[in-house]
Amino acid sequence: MNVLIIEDEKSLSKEVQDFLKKEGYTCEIAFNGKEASEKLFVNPYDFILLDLGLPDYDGLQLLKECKEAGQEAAVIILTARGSTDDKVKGLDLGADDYLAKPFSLLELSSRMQAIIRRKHGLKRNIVELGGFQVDLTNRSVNFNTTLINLTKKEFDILQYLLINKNRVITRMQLTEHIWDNALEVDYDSNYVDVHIKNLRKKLTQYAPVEFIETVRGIGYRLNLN
Amino acid sequence: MKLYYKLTLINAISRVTIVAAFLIFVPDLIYKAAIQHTDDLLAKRKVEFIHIMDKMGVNQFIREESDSTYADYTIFKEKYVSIEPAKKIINDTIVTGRRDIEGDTVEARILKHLFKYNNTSYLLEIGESLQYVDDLKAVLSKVALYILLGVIFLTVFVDLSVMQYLLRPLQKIEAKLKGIRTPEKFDYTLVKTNTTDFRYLDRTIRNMMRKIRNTFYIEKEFIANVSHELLTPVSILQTRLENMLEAGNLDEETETKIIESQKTLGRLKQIVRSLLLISQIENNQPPKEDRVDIPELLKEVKSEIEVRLVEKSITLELELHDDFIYAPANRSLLYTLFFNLINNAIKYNKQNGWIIVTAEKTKNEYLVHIRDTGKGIAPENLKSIFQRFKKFNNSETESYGLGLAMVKTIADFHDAEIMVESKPNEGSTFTIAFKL
Repeated sequence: MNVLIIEDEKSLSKEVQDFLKKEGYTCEIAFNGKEASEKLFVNPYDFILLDLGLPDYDGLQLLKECKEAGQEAAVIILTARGSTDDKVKGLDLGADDYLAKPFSLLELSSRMQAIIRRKHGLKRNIVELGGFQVDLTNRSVNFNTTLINLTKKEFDILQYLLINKNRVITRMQLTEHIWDNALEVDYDSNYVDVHIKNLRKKLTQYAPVEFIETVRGIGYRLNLN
Repeated sequence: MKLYYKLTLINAISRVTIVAAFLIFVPDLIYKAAIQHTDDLLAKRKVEFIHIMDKMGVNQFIREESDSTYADYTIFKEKYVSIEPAKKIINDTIVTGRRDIEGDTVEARILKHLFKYNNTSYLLEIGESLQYVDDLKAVLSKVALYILLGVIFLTVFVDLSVMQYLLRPLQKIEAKLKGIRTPEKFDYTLVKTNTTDFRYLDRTIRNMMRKIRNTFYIEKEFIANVSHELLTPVSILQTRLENMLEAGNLDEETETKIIESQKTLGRLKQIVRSLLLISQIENNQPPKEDRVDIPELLKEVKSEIEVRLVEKSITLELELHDDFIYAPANRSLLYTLFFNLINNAIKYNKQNGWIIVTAEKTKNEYLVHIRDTGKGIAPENLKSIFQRFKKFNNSETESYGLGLAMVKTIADFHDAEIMVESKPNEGSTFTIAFKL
């Protein structure tokens, strides 16, 4: 998968590139709008990560050029402006998703995976998990034929752990994901633990849930082979 | 009381006083003038009479009957002349006295004159009844009263209109200031007037408003820029720390430290985001396009926040008495407002505490009360709790001093009023009042 990172902040683009490379993506970086514009008309990309606050270019203009260049890439807007106006405009112009800076790399990769699932038209995306069937499209969990009633947050946690399976997810990453940048997030709080406790309680009624592992002092990991 | 009414009232009072004084003194003045006039008349008559007497002789006028002391000429009783032998010597005088004329007692002005004729002293009295003076007094007083009352009404009416005209610029200035909460909403066009006082006032207010506006603007710009500039380095740090953890080749101690650093960074991120949001709201950037069902929103906040009640076994109850849809509004901001308030009520509550949220409609307002059994706020701090970075509870609970500032900003943005009552160690009640 080819990714074009359009970001004028060199350190940030490098961190993003490092992370995505490990995830198996091929990355190119454009440090300004001009460079990006040239690349857009030459190479095809699967993903374009677009910073709206470029020094030489209006990011939204670049978004238009993307479409003109016939790019079929999915565009994720990254911005520190954080104004809802930009978000709406960006999505109107055909961006696929929007992430406010500062964002978590894990969140970025989860969003990218979600777009891949959507684009590749996996109508039913069901994952088998220790006897449970997790339907990522319809956001439901079944044990055989029994539907398990999870709250929105509980499902969000399960899904996030599942997407990032076999990887330790810190409490903070989980918190940020499920509260979606809410302003009253208490990073030292144990609210995530409460949700996980409830989730485990609901699932163990049907089968053991050893696949959800507590990593002491750090967070949680979902083990799945 | 408005200046306009005060001026009118003072004017009216002074007029009434003048008129009252006039009405008190006028009869006296009339009386005095009439007496003066009568006296002049009597003196003239005396001269005329003596002139006639010189021609015709006094005997013509003297009657021999001893019982009648009065001469004739008393047909209408208003005037009379009498001559009688003088019993004692007196000087010429004019007095007011009573005389019986043909059985009637009449108050009259009487001129007394002593003269000699054929070695006999005679007393001449010429009288003029004062009845007409009393009549005149009554009539004139009545007329004066009517005229003066008329004058009062007329002048008060004229005063009102003139004063209203003169004070109109002041009213316009007042109207410009009324209901203005931010200097952006001030009308900077000057009020047309040639009254220098008002001109000075208007210009001064305008210039001061401009200064305030500029200061606000600079502050807001500064906050927005700083926040924005801070978010980029925070982004870099966050991603770098994440990459370090991902590498997975760290010893346990370093790992713990990185996780702690992430939390610290999380706090920084939250502060910057809050500041940015506050400055955006103050610049009226967020859209206000939603119709928000407030009771519904409160239920949503409750279900979202329930997980936070567990730790201290707090009971959160909603008592939603009336339905209310507020529009136009920004749903996510109102959500943040209630979330912050209820979250605070949890944070500063005691073990097994209570939070009761009531929503009710009054005549002009929709009130949401959030009552808790928390540690409360000291009276001296009540006024400043909505200021940025104020933090009074030196507790273990973390607070970044922006939660209530945010609440206030969101309330202002929605023209809602926020009030707080609190008793230390008993609890606080926050009330949000939406206009109906």
